[in-house]
Amino acid sequence: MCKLFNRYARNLTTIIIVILFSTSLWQLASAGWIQGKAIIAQRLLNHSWDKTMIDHGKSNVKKVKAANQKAITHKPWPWADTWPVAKLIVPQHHIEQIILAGDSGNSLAFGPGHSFTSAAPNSAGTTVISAHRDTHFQFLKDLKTNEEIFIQTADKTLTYQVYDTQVVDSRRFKLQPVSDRKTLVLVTCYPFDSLETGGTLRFLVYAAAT
Amino acid sequence: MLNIIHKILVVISIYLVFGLLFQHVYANISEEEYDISTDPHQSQHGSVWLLPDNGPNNNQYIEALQMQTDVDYEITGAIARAKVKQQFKNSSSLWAEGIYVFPLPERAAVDHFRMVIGDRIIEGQVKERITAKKIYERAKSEGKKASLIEQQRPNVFTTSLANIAPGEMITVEFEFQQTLEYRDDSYRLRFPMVVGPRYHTVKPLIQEKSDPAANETSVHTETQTTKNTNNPVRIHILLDAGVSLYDLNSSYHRININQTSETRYSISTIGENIPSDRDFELVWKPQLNNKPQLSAFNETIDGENYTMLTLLPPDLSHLQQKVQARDVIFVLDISGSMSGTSIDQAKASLITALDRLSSIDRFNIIWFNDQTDRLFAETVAATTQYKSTAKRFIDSLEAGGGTEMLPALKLALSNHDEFTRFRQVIFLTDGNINNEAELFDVIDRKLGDNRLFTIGIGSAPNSYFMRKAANKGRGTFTYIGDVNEVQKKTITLLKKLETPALINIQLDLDRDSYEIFPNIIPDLYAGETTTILVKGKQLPTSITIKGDYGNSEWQTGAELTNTTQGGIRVAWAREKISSLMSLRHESAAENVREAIKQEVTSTALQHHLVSRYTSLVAVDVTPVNVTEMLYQQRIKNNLPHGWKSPAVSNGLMLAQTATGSKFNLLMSVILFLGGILMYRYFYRDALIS
Repeated sequence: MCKLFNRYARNLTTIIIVILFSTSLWQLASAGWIQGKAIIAQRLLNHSWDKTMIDHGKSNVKKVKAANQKAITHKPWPWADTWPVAKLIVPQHHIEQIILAGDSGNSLAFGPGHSFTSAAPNSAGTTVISAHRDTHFQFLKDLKTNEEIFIQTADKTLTYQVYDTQVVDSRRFKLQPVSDRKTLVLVTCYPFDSLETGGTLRFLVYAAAT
Repeated sequence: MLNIIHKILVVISIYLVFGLLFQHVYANISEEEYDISTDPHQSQHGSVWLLPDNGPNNNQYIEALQMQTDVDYEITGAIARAKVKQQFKNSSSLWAEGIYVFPLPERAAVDHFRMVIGDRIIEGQVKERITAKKIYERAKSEGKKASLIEQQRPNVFTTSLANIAPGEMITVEFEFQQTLEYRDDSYRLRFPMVVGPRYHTVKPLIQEKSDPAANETSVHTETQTTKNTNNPVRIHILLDAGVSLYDLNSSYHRININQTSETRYSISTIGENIPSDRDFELVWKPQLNNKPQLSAFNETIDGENYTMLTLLPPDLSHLQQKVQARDVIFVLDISGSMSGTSIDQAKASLITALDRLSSIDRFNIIWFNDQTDRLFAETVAATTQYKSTAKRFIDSLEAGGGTEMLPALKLALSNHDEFTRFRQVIFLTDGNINNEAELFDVIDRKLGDNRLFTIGIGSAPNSYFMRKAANKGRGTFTYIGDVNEVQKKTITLLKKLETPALINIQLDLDRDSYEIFPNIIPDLYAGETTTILVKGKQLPTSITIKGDYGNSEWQTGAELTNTTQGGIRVAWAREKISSLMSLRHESAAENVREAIKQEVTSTALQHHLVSRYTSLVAVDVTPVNVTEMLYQQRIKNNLPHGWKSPAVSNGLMLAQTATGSKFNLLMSVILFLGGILMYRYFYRDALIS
């Protein structure tokens, strides 16, 4: 009786050990996948951004209407549901990232995302750009007041200066846009080292065009 | 055996650890639900709400940036006419559909409006309801923009606007008119200004510790920025009070007052940017005299004269000296339909009423179901003794039996005494009767100098009957729907009934050549005003009004000079429509209803008013080519087909910006260590056995 139970327990233990190791591997792969996607995607995006810039140069020559924006967007890979809209450059933190259209989860996996409901990058109004705190926007915690951020769009590159940072609760806080000045708001999750994924706190960096 | 237990314990504890970890994660995910209210219809200020194209499918709106608001009021007596001009900007980078929402003050209705979106002009026109609907449907099927002006909630003005380009400006201009209430001896004008918080004023949840002095300066600069970026609201008011004022003030904002004549003022808010965290409120108190006062305003449009006469009561101290003793007759319905909470409400109401009678007053109580009887053979003085007898009697009453209202009404209105006293009949009933016409007829014939006040009891009283009965009886109708309201509403009514200021009011105008509303001029009570609206081709240069003030007859005249300010015609037309609508009832004959409908429709169309039979329809009056150009431009600018952004990314709400990568990594390590641990146990067991 005892022996039978012993053998049964041993089998069970074996199964559990196998499960533990394989889950461990799967978790490791997931973490790697998230981080890897974030890094590799930026490479591909850089390429498609360069093409966008070249096209823009051409389109200027051909005098294609500026309003016709869709023609000059390039998808980084054929099945992508997003495309590059601008480039974020922060020299002090060695950051060069391509900003994608939309700030939904599928864009944010690959790069910082520009919120459609905010003003277009480098135009008058409030531009909101979000990214994950543990990939692209990890550097936000080191960003200091008066540091410079460059935003490159198809037609120009503007310099923004950080003037404020703020921690807010996204359930209660609603960002009120301005209309007259070119303002940039970078958004990421807070606290930076938290393990939670569904947290409600956000870290905001405010910058104004100089 | 011990080993097995040991192993099982290890397994359980590992499961527990993971279970807790997972629970922690899930608990946090479920907290993700956002509770930001983005419902435009709950908006407390004039605003444009945008629904970006290609936006989420769950209809989440974002608020457009408010640029500037100009409000011009013209106030004539109790009529306030406002012209509002608001500018908004689509601050997003998307094409959007929008809706304009404006919470209207009480008893206000929009009669003109115009919208300019980029190059498009959309103008509101009053059409017969069916025609309006047709225009709307046709425009919609042709792909044009049109919208019906709808009242989503009572007193919310809503209209939709289509195809707003990124960064495009929207200008909304509209006019509304309201009749201000006279309460606590003053008129009050409110304009909603409260806007949502600007981000500069929101304090961080987690603030770095710093010395308070430094904190203060930073808060100060933030307020400065707020002032600069805030949406300016400018209010300008031309007030013609008709009588001299005792007091004129703004409750929360700094204003500039300029008196232009004895009764006229020009008022404006000071500065470019006035605080918009509270409603604007202007309060003015007419100077009350020892006698009732009359003010008259006249407006001439297309050869027709529209006149508004407003009577103000004398001040209370003078009035109280003049107040006569009254006879108050209470009529209580104790029929079967009143059983339950209704009879309890009625009893409570009656007892409250008895307590307020003063010893110079006289009273009686009549009750009825299918029988009618009265408590005292004659009206008795309201002494403590008679009151307590009455209260004991009321307590003993129980509801039951049929409803025969006619004998009770006749008994209440018939009066064997001379009319030396002001006689008020207070009728408490649920109005559950079927011989309305007969009852109205009795009121018409037997009212005499009685005044009939009806108090509607229960969850669904026949308020049509009671309102009309009170109207014919030169009294008012009070509805009490809730037991908790009995005390308050009864006291309000009785307080008013205690101080009649001017009764039997008459106008020396021939009713055949003038349209006068209301048909029967109601009495004037302390703390209230009485307004009469007249329309006619030829008006005399002065008008005489008379009535009974205390025991003596009172009479006054007013010169009819034209005012430069509008609104009287609209007020007259509205009064006419409401008076017509009060005649309309489901039990009325078909031809009567049809006649009322036609009369209301033609009045509404002629005076540009929204009514039950007419709607304001928004028609795009933009030249066609502009629309086409816009349409083409829009096609080009569209986002890829099938693009949908999730709800969280909307409304300048903040995106979800955490990945599980760190958690994954941690889990991986924990699981690996767990595996090693278990393997060691298993391995040691194998060696032992």
